[in-house]
Amino acid sequence: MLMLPEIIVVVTAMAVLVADLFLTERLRMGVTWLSLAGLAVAAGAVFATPMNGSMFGGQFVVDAVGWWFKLFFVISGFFTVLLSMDLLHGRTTCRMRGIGSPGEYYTVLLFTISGMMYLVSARDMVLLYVSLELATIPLFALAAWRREDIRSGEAGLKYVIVGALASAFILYGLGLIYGLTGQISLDAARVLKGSPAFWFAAAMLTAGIGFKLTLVPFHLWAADVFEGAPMPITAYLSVASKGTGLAFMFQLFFRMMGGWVHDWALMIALFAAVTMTLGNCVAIVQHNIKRFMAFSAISHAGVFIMGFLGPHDYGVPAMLFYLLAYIASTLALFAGIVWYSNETGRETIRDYRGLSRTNPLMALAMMLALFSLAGIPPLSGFVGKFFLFSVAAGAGFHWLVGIAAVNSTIALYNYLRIVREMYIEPVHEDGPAAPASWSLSITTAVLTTALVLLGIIPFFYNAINGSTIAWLSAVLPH
Amino acid sequence: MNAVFYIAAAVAAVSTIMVVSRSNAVYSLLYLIVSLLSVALIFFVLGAPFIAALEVIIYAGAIMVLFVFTIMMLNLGPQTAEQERKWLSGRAWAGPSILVAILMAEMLYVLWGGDHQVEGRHIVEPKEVSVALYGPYVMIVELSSMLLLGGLVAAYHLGRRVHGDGKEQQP
Repeated sequence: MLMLPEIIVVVTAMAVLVADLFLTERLRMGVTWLSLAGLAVAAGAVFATPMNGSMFGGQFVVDAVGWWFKLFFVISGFFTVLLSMDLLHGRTTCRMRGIGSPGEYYTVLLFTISGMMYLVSARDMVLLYVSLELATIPLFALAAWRREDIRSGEAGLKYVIVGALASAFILYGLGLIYGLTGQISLDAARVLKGSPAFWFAAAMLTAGIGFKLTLVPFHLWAADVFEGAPMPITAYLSVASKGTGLAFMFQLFFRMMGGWVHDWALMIALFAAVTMTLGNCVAIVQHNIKRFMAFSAISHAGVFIMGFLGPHDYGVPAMLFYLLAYIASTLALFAGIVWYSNETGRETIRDYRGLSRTNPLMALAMMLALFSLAGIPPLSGFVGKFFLFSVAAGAGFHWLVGIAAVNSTIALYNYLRIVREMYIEPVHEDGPAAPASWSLSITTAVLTTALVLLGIIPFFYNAINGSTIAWLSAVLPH
Repeated sequence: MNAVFYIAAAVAAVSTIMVVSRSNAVYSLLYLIVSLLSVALIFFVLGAPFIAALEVIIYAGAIMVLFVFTIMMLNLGPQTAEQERKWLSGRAWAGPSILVAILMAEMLYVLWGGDHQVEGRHIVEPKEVSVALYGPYVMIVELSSMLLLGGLVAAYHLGRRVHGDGKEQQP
């Protein structure tokens, strides 16, 4: 059963939707348990599926890279549910109006996860496009979930307009490729010769991917959407939406146009340099933590796409490993941010002052996550960045590695701003009163342990590397 | 028969440019209907009469009429009635009418005069469309249905009213 994980996620979504109708207000927590259980079983099912095989006449294929992506999507969905549950069930000190309807929220969230999982397995253009829409259209609604809040509505509207524009670009590009090959299979495009129509299609697809992955200059929507969305959705956007963008880029640039992958290395390197630099430089002047995280996510998009520079049998595992480290670090950090916003309703960086005295453990976890994002050894963020930088150096882009190193320093300054507020500044007179709830505590503990262990124990990188390299060396054009 | 295709394509391009360049929403909608009709004609001459019919029924019919109704119903009152009369003056109809007349002439020509399709095209019957949808492409159909359900659930949440006391009301 290759499709078992997807089916479990979809069935869970339906079950949550139906259960929500019958549960009384007192038992409403049941939908959360159902979602968590469904995602845990789905993660187990991902482990149980083999790393190769195909269904539906080759439309749906599982391979090593897709296998890892699916695991990451399920994990980030699981922790997003844990981050959301306090807010949705009104168990926070600072009540947020208009956020309720947990049943619908989890249903929509689970649908986006299933869309992402179909995306990495799709092997024809129509399925690829429909699953991309399944992964993003419900996200528009999640960004606008707080109906009372005008900023949330603004976030949803901006996301819809930009998302529709990106979809139009992608459709135009896919349409041109279909016109050139006459087939909807992704593999059919591998044999295309360079022609003006092909390059035009490639440019369209690059622009569409740029929107999804927040590459500069297609990043303009990110800060406003991240700021307006409810806090757990901001966390979900910064990990899962980034993962979707990477998976989509992998599908198009690697599988569909794989024969050309060396020709646009320079373009990818330029995108990476501009994206990293702008993301980090603009993050310096941000005061709102959500906008700050948006620019942090933008700069990380620049780091991720270095994995496409090649040599490709090393680039892809390095990218996957960094995605895992990034998911762990970002969600661990967001657990602290969600807790702080749940308790006080405030979200500027200045508000975190003195957190190390009032809540030392949470401050420590947030500091570790920030250091991991900045890339300080021996945390996983450092290891991931190291592999990606060495991929870029191996491809001959030494100038890009130089720019990336400078950017790491700027990023370290940015992340240290928060650490400074937490550890050096005097205690905030009106800080959070209650300690973190059990769900946020578990999230923080598990993810902080993960982000430390991922960097120290080589098993995880070896596992990703070993399974993907064997597959990649079989398919890559030599 | 390729001429029919090119004329219809030109009408589609012109009317779509008019859609995005009009500042008045009602004018844009009139041109959008023309644009969708011309796309339907393109489908027809390419050998897909079933898709052409769907394009007319669903897009040019249901969705566009819904749009026009919504825009007109959002403005109630005597002064907006006056404004609407101004919106739908004779001049507003001129451009779309000319374009539609071209499409109409082409359709009559295709139906009674010339061939039914661009050369070398195989005509896809409704039966073939359904067999394809529920045969090789069944997964795409299922994914689309999930997409629609997800969108429906989200729209239900966003459209629900909230009372002053914070209690949510069923629509």
